[in-house]
Amino acid sequence: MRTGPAAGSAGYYHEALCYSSPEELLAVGLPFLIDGVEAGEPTLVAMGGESAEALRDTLPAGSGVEFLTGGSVYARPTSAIRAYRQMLSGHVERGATQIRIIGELPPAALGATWDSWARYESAVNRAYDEFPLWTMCAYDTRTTPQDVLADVARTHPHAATADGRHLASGTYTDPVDYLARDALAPDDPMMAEPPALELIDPLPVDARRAVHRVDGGRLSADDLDDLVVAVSEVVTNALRYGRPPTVLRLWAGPDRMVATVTDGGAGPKDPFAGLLPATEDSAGGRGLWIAYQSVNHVVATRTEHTFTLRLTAGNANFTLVPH
Amino acid sequence: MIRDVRPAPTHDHLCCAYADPTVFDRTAVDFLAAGLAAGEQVWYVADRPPAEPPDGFRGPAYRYVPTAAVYPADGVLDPHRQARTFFEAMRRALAEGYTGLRVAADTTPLARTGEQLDAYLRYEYLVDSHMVVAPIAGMCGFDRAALTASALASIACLHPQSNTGDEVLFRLYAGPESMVLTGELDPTGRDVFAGVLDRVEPPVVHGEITLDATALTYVDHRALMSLEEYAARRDAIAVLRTPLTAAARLVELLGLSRVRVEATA
Repeated sequence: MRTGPAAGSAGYYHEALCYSSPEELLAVGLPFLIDGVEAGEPTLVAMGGESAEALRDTLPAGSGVEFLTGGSVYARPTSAIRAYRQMLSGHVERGATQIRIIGELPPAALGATWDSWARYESAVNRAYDEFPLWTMCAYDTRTTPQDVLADVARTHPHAATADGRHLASGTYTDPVDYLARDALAPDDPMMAEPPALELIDPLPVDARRAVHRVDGGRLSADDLDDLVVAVSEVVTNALRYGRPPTVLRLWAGPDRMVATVTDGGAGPKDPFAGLLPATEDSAGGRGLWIAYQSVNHVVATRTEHTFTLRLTAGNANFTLVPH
Repeated sequence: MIRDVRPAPTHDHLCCAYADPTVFDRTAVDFLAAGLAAGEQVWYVADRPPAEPPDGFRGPAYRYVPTAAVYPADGVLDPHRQARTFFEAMRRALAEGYTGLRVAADTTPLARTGEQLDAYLRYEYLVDSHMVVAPIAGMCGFDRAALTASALASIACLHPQSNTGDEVLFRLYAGPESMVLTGELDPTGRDVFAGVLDRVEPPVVHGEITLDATALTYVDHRALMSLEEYAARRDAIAVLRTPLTAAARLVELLGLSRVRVEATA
């Protein structure tokens, strides 16, 4: 039987834990974990750094709590969704009535790529809703920017308080509405310069060759292969489902490459496009999902007459410029 | 222009698509002249002899063979029998003191209908396999006006050398140990790749269909899914030997169980 605030209900109980000290984190996190183990529920920690250490040091030896490496779980938003869904399916198949996870994003996720993690936090309300899951997503209010905390409140329907209460978030926004908004991602400063290469209506094969040409040995073989896949898929979609002209632009810096693909269409109608696995018959959905899985940052933006996907391979966490 | 996509030359087997018959003539004459210089017996197979055969083509090593003399009248090949015909001709040429057999044939009449094309594609692979291990070389000519773009792409992709440029971006041909997959597999080649796999029937050895993809430069999820479906139909595992690191990641992403990627340097 399911325990805690979600007892008696089905699906995902997605709760934010905004804490302002290690003591507050422990005050909420420890009972969450210990109660989970006592109830026989798979109970996990997906954190790195000091937070994980604080919990590990305080939990009794052999507590039964499983520690995942926060950094590797949260490498990319779409990879995290895929990895968690696989793990949750396994627990449910083995008879779990509830799975508890306390997680924390690595600090880098709260910077230049936060928009994609905010979309992750929104999308998982649907992506995990088929599982009896209770997660606490920890955010340290001392180091988390205010605009990030506002997104946290919009993407988590529930909030845990340090004194043990579970509140509804007053600004929670349905994912369909939240994801329909344009991402508010900062421009990559590299894009202030003219692109290294621009192609109008390229065939996918020409787009792939252009990525190789501009890379010039900057990216690792893995990052280059993956960027080529992503650009090829996005150009394919733009040619097939967008409106002409399709414009590919490429920028290269010492630690990363940025590709933008712009077409004259409105972009995918499905607000979850790219975030959730798509079926073969959804228009371009699988290719887009693969593109999201293949690079470190994807940003979708729209104007009245254009739809643009920006793909970053290599270090997507460039230093934020004031905006 | 004939482009050779082989990472290392193994055998001469080229596709010459022509809109102007003189292109076929000129390419065939060059192809056969190379054979004459190498001491091979050479055949020019078409409905009529070349318009202006060079002087070197007057000796006993050169033969004009009418199409009807080597291919069935209805244009539907028996793939094994046809491949054996050329293999036996090669053996006779060797017995007569030549170093091998080289054939330039206008094979347009063998690929006009769906039934003809199905048999022809299987034959292409079988005769290609002979060329890897025996001194047979072949040039297959096709009148573009008589074939659909898809049929031409299906034929061209089975030749290591072709003048079709970017019309089909990948090649699938016989190698010394397994079939060789080169070039790029993207949405433009999806249907052709799935179609030729079905017709060519790559060999299953110990439950595995191995594709030497060491010179493959791109493969997308569509091609990997085609491979998965094909391997399932053959009740086998497709083994893709490739240096492309994205291939293994795509296989994992897609959860494919019948495609195994083996990393090569």
